[in-house]
Amino acid sequence: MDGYVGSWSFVAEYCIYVFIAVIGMMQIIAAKWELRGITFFRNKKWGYVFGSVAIVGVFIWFFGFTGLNLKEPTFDTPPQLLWLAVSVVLALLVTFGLSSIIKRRLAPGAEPNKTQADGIEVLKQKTYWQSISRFFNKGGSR
Amino acid sequence: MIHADQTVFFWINGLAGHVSWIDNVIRTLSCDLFLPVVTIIALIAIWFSGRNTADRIRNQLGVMCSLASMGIANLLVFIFNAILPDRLRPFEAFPDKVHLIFYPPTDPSFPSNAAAASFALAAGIWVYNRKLGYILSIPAIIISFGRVYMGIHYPLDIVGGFAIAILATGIVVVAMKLCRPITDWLLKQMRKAYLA
Repeated sequence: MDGYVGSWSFVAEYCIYVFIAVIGMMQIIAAKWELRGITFFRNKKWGYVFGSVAIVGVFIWFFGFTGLNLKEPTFDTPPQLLWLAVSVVLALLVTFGLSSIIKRRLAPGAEPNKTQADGIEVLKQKTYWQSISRFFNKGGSR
Repeated sequence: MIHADQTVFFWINGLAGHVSWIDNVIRTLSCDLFLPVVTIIALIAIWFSGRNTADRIRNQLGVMCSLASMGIANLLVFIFNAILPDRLRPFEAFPDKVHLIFYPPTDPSFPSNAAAASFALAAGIWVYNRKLGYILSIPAIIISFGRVYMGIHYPLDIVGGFAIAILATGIVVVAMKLCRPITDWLLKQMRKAYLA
């Protein structure tokens, strides 16, 4: 790869684009399914607003305000998939981490019943950090 | 058949090069950096979505099937490219007649890798959730149309890509049925880590 699309600057911009888009989508999903433990906001309306602005904004920025020229070759498939995966994983880690810090005082409500207290459903009541801590405090078994 | 393929190609590609903003929109929508990313973000949303646990598990199986189908489709395109004679891209075969409004790819024209991958993503979800499968086929159709419009694929390349997507999804569905205990175990482990 030569020129702009082969540069680290392009890779960085692509990663930022995917990263912010995934963070935005996670906030919309958290608001939609009331996953209070992974939202950045108390009011779910702000989750929708933040998510929508983040996604639309980052798409406009990437396609309108970077040095991208679609008449030149972009990524080959393998590096594109690699950087896509890296950005998605980072975005999920940041979503879980940041929401755990912002919502660290989230008081877990009544323990959800047995059928609800499974996997992602737990994030309706607890942050990701609180959930993981509960798992390790119980010695790895639930 | 080749004649009909070229006739349809020139009819669609003849639309390009007249209105620059339409060309720009189609170029953006059909590039590797827009709708594939939209589709992946949609898959993340589907993974975390569901009215109840059973609904969510069904969606998650769909996402797993979708991603695996895309991987197999890419592999099949690679194999077909290795064993089939190379078909020249339209802009290579008819350099004076084609409106090329995209960068010129260097791999063979048939089958279309972009069509195979995007239809495989949609088909994998369709197996588990018809409505979402139809929704995800919209980006695949846009990408496929755009590739012909931009002068880098014939319609038959797209049909070939679509057929490969169906074949890849069929292979993955059978494999997932045979390996059901493994997918169940994988989802169980991810639920333990609060990721599924």
